[in-house]
Amino acid sequence: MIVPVEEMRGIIGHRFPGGTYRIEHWENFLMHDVMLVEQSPDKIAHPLYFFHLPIAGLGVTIQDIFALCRADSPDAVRAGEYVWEIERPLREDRTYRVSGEITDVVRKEGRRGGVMDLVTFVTEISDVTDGEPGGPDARISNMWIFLRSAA
Amino acid sequence: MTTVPQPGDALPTWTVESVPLEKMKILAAILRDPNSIHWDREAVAAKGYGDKVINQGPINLCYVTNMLEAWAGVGSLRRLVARFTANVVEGDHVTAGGTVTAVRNENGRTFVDCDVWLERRGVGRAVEGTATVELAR
Repeated sequence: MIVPVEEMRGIIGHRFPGGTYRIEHWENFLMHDVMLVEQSPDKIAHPLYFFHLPIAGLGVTIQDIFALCRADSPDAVRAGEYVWEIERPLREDRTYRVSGEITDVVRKEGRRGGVMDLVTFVTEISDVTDGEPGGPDARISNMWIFLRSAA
Repeated sequence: MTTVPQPGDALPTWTVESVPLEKMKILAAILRDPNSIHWDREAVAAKGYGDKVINQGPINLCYVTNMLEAWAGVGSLRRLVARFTANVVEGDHVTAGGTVTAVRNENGRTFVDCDVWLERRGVGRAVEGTATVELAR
């Protein structure tokens, strides 16, 4: 049975626990290795962190988000649209506060994919290493697609 | 970059000759990603998705940011809007590219807007979107 759309729309406004995340050298090294590029000497974090921090820094795991969004299974989830607005790059040895919430749920029916829910969550990333920041370093909007099976 | 870009300019492409499975496994571990299509060939086959492990969408997207940073400089990315239009699997040949659509000067800062994409050889676009980079002063 497909989860009722009213139930899914009920998670709009859900705020994640939030938290802080420090970008360590070892992890940034591996991120660059994953992306097949050399790390720059100025300790700038790879843009792949704009995907990683909005999850890891929120105090949740990918599995937690799958559960909140009632994913049928991990492989019934697809990346939808990502919107990254970046004031300045992230850096190693800095601690970032991450806050975020579910902002939208849209149910659609595709010709090939069947019923699906498009779930958008928006996060703000702010460098708090030296105290309260003047504004966020980045605002990230990620939309994930949850395919629904009628079985 | 030695000259100010102009609308219509093609960005230098960035290519992966053969998308490596090993890197998908490293990222899955870092992200604690439970989706086995990114690290288990047998699981991919059992789910009817073929016989090759499927690359993570964020890696595909960041092949595009690699292309942008190789051109405009590390840390130059200011905005990225992207959607995923096809899978990329282990062993694929992919090329990130783009075209300049506008050059803007705002308060002494220069921003370049671009159409960007990731092309999977023999299949077509796997990522499409737009991006803005800030040129170094």
